[in-house]
Amino acid sequence: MRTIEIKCRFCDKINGSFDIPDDVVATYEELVEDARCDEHEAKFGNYKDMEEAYLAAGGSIENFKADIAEADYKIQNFQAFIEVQQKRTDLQKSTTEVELTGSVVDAEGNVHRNGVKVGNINEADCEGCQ
Amino acid sequence: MGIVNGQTADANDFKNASAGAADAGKGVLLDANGNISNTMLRRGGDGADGAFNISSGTTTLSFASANLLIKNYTSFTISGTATLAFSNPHANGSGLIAYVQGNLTLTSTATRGIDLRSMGATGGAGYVSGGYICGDGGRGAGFIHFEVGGTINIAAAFTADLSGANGGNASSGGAIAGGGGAGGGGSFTAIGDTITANAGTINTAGGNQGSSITSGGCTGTNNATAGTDSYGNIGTIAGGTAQGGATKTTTAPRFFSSYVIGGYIFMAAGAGGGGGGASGCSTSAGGDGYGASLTSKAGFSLVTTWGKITR
Repeated sequence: MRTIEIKCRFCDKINGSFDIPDDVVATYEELVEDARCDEHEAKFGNYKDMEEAYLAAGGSIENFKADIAEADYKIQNFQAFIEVQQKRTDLQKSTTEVELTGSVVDAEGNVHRNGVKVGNINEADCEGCQ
Repeated sequence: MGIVNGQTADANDFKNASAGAADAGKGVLLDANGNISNTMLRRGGDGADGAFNISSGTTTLSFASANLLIKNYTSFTISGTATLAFSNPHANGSGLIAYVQGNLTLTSTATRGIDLRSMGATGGAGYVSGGYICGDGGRGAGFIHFEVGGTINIAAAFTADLSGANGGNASSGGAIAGGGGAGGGGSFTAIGDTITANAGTINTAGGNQGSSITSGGCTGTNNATAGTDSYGNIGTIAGGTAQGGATKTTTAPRFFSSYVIGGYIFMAAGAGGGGGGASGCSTSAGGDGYGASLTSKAGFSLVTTWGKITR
């Protein structure tokens, strides 16, 4: 039996441990995705929350792992990566919308296609809304 | 040789631990408490992953995009102010099955001793076209299942958070659009013979649906499919309601009878909320969230058995 200590990635404070049999081949990285002490979690953010925010912004898990490493696992640095990802996703979405429909609805509900008003969504029979 | 009709059976014909085929035909020897021993039941797994023990900070384990993470611990402890969190779930949701040979001790006073939020199925994409930008469905929560050979101790101060995420808000500029459906709550179960404390707070609440945008007398509606109460039937499906996100919080863990043998346990991560639709003046629906089905078992992250008296 050998003990693998679970340490905060920033200060090596011990969160806990795995006591695993000697014949089990497992690296620390295979056992633990992330560990941070209470103090550094408060200071640098929660790993899972950062992952969730990144994925919600449209990023992939592979890119998340690369980007959070580049951000030194700190929310202060990582926030910029989330924002970039969100802009990238929004741009992709809006580009797709134009390609699919070419329509834009303004605040009054007027539907414009290629810059020309084709109807209003508040009208009962709005052919241009289709 | 085993028990044979017409012949006298002696003590050797009854076993409290099976050696496999060599014990075919023999009877079960009850222990001092009149129970079938855990050795015979093989409850608690083989301990191959050793002891897990955390007492402070947040430790995050990865599902590595798999539906199911199975561990065989000799003991499992979350104490002090520790939090156990998870990351990288499967798109259909993920869960942990922890076989624990010895004791399960959950006494941490952290806000979330176990955090399985957003480890369930992804929500459906909201309808998007032109000015219609509907909210995406919220992500469900994951599940966790303990099968314990020793003692279960879940203190009153302990909290596990398996709540579903809220649906996204519609964001179109003045156009009618629906909010995303709520993510479903996850499941928490534990099986064992001896319980020191059955307390704590297990939050399996569904999320709330996202807000819709009203315009011209029409309101975008939520087209999410309803989930199911995770405790409606034994170990069936997790999932908060999609519309309104009705709260499903229990103040105590649910334990199954220790003498259910060969029973089936069906577990699944929380269903994702459906994407918002733009119906009202239009009839465009959002996408469906992943989830489990009571009838087809589609979407189940896990279908398992326990307590089989076999080798």
